[in-house]
Amino acid sequence: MAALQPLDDAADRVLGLGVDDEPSLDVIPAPAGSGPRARRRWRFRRAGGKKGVAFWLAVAWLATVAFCAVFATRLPLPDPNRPNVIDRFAGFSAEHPLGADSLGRDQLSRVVHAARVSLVVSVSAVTIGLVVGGIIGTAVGYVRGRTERVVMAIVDVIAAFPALVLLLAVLAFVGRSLTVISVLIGALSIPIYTRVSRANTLSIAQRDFVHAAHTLGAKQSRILFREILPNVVPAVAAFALVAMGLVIVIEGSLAILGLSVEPPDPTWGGMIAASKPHLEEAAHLALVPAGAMFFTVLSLNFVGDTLRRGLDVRDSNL
Amino acid sequence: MLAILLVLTALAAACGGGDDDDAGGEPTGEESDQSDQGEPVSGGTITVGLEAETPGWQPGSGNFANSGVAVAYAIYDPLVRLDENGEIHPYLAESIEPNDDFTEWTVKLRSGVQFHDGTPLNSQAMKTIFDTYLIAPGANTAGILRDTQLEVIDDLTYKYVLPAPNSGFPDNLAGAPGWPFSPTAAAANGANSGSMPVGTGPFVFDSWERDSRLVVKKNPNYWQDGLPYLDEIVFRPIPDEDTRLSSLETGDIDVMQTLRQSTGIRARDLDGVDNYEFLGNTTGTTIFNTTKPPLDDVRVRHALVLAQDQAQLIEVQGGTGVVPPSTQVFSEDSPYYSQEVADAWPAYDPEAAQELIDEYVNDPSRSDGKAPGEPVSFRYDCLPEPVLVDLASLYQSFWQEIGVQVELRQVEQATHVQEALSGDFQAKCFRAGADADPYVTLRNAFTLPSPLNFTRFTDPTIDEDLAELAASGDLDERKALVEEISMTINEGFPLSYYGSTLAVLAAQDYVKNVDGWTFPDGVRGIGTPGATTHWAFVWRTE
Amino acid sequence: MGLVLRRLPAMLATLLIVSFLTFLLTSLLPGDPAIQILGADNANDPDSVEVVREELRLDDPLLVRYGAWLGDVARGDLGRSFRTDQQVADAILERLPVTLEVGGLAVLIALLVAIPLGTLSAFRAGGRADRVVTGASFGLLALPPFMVAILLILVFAVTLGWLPATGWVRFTADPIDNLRHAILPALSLAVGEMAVYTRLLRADMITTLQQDSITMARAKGIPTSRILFRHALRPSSFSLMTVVGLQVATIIGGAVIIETLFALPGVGRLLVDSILQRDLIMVQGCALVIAIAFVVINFIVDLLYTVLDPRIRYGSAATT
Repeated sequence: MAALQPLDDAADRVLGLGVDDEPSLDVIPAPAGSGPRARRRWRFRRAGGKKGVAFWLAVAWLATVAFCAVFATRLPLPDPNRPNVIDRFAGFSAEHPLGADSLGRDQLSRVVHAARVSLVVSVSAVTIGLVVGGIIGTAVGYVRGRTERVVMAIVDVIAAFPALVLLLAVLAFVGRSLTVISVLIGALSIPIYTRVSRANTLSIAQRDFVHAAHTLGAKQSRILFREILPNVVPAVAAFALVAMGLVIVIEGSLAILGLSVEPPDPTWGGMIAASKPHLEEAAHLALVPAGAMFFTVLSLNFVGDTLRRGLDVRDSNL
Repeated sequence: MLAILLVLTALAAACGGGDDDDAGGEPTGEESDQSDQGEPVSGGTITVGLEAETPGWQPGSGNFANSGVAVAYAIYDPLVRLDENGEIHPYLAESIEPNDDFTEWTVKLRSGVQFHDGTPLNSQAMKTIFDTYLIAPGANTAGILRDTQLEVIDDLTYKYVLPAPNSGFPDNLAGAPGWPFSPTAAAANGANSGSMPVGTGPFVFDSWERDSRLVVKKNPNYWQDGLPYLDEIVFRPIPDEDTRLSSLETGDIDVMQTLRQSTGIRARDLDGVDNYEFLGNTTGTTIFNTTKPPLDDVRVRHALVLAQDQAQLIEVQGGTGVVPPSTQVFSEDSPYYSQEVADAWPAYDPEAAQELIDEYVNDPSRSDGKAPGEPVSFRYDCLPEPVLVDLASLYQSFWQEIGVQVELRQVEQATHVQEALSGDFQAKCFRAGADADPYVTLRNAFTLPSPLNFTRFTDPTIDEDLAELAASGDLDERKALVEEISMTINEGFPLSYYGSTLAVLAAQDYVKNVDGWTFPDGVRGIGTPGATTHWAFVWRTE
Repeated sequence: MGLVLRRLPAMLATLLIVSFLTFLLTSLLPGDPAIQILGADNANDPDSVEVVREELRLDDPLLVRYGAWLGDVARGDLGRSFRTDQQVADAILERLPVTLEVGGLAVLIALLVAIPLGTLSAFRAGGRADRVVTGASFGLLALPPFMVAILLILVFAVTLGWLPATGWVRFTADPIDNLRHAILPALSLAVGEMAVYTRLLRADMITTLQQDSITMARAKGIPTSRILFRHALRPSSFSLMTVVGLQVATIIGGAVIIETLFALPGVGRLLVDSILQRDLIMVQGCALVIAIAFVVINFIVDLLYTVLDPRIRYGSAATT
């Protein structure tokens, strides 16, 4: 493929580098394309991956968001729920640094207060799905046999069930609260984590090192935890990080159907969903919460990625 | 989006098709910015974007909201409609006359009219439809027509025999009960007849892809000579307000229907688009359950009304300058509107509100059983659509200002309606009024044991006045009675208003005469109530 | 074929449980279907409500009603809609092609973008290209589908006038017009999916690229692009394929927002409208069809795992 020639060149460059005499664990190649075709040295870094500016920015953002989530009510911000119809759709100004929404409420304040709900919902929903689904999927993908068929059939029931019916029914009977919604979304997402972790387990279980461990007489649980799980985790974790963003948006769509946290308490997803009738006249109603969500999920991924590279003992062989 | 669909289904006017007056007085805030009409041109197709799909088209089983009526008037003809003065006038019928005490209404049909399948329109057909479909158990028209009989007099004359005097009865015939459809076709099609409507109207049903498009074609044997002008109409339900407007902008549709204030106003800004606006009798209301504490105490309700600024409520819906504040169930264009009642409705006065609520709060025998000094609290339910959420939040903050704690709760439409019917609520957002005769509207809403009296509010004077209203055919007398009823209602504060509904038909400027339909005898019709019209009179120039 | 037979009981069990639970929960929802059918304003007449309830046998015990439905299904009859009187099977069949076409197109577009980008991202993990792709992915993810849809309509329909804003034309009626109507909805869905697929592929491929087999291939002198796309892609596709499978099935019942915005007569809208209007029998029919789709698609995906990695076996001897 001629189009990929530059890739090949870059790859050559990478592989053509001389290697220092020291052991090459914990190294990553220098970013390709950032210099002439010169020999380049491997760069060392401490365990945890190269921590550049982007990483620290991401950490700073996450810390800010966490801080806001915890201390929202103590911050010197205007009441996020107090309408002020005169200020409707106000743009960015000294009084409203991030503008005002359709009821004239301050967006900065709302976005900060919304952090707590959105984070709680997305983190708990994803965690439930990840932990429960991940464990089930990995276990089942390894053990196979009848257990696998039965468990996957049950998981399929959850997946195939019309979610809206479940949400309506549960919320009608149990009432609406942050906990209930998080648990429901978490439960409904178990199937996807189960299937993804199972898929990866199926693949990894075939690898030589697993066979080797088995031959050496390692117990199943040990193989599961020492060999398989560490290799399944990156894939499932990657999905989990993406899923956090998805859950925030999903929560917003649920708000439109009246299935989310009660108004007037803000959530990022709810703010985004509520911005729809006003997209033309006041785009900042959507961009502010979407932006907050974007930076948060992006930061989570950066951090997660960098940490992952630290945990990975092996680097890319390409 | 979907929620919009829900809201509009829940909030549609009763019985579809009833009309409202657009008489003499200046329409408030409405614009009819239109291009030159010019001379009629025959031929052409138009595409109409509707708010929602309708599940079935047969009177008696079909549910006709504004979007359904818009299509129905192409396929069916109503026996009567309101004219520009707000009075009932025969349309398909040649005449309709009451007896002295308004217990019998005699209808004379035109001769030579046929249904689209060739069956002749005559009294026998009307009787068959009436007995087999309209008053059949389980029909949705059985309630309005309870204990009513249809008696054939001769081939083209018959009468409705009512169980009690009702001077407003013909109003029902502008809606589904008054749309003749072919009994032969209905019988032949059985359970599928709702999907293949056969009427006497200017257009013949051609095809229907649900949730996508319904096509009607010109009726070559239409009983009004020279009509219709158009060859074909394609009706497309587009539930989302924003994309419906975009479809108008791109020219995907030629005419757009909307009952949302903000969309109607945005339509005004489009170039090359004519706007036909109609301010009807449906008004947005907050209803209070007068049997549940603390809302069973009139002081509390009065205080809640004093505490709200309707102008802000309208602003939040995007209707400022277009939609006037409501003070009663009838809009300013209705002959039953009363200035006295309007003046008596309290203006925004948070201090007076505070005084009143304090009176209740400090009352040792307060109805909610709480100790004096404890704040009043209740729950407000509304639909989850964004604009209504804003409305509810605004209400909450108004009432918070006077120390009332309001818990907001969102429910989807089916539960919302269920709770209103069963009385399982304290306060809800809803709609009141309809473009129908006041007797029907008021009786449904403010007498007991009407299941539709969600507020459970009633008063003996209302019952008396209504009885007189039903027996009176004199407009002035009726107006006075309605005024008295409206006054009694408002004094009890069972509900509070947040602005009338603005119905808009926005059309590309090459679509003409959208609101100019007339009766066969030349009298002008009432225009476009509920964003519907008689498509027979519409033409296009390009 | 032995495989199918072995899985069949589980699949049927899943379908049965889903349909029973759906029946149970929808029956328990507040809101009377009879009132939905008659219309709130016509609840004026308690007699009518009674009659309708009787017609629909709504007062019969739950198990009796479920049993009756099951019996009908066994005979191929999914019943008639409460609201529209249309045959449930007809209603669903009318709408399935719409949803499948838009959903299928969306997945296709998403994959066409995600595979090269995900691969590039993994290959240059940590580098600038990776950061750009990552940033773009999350940017797209932060835009909910309705925003993307409205933006697309604004650009391509209103401003440029190249494509229609809303509506649907059947493929059999006019293939070109059909595609014109399908593109924007498909794109709206694809944008979000693209982001997810890219990230998944990237994660899996990073793992794959660490394997010795890659070093081997390199040592053999195989060009990088070939390694990436022929050797690394397949084993990295497990997550991707799994999610794609689940997404396709989900789209059948779940693309309601896109379908509403673009006024598409799809299954998603049908399902949601039916739930909200308590058209219980239509809900049952839709839920059944969707459940079948899930079960079948997941089964196919399971089979495809063996294509990705022939060492994976199904059947009785499936132990490591």
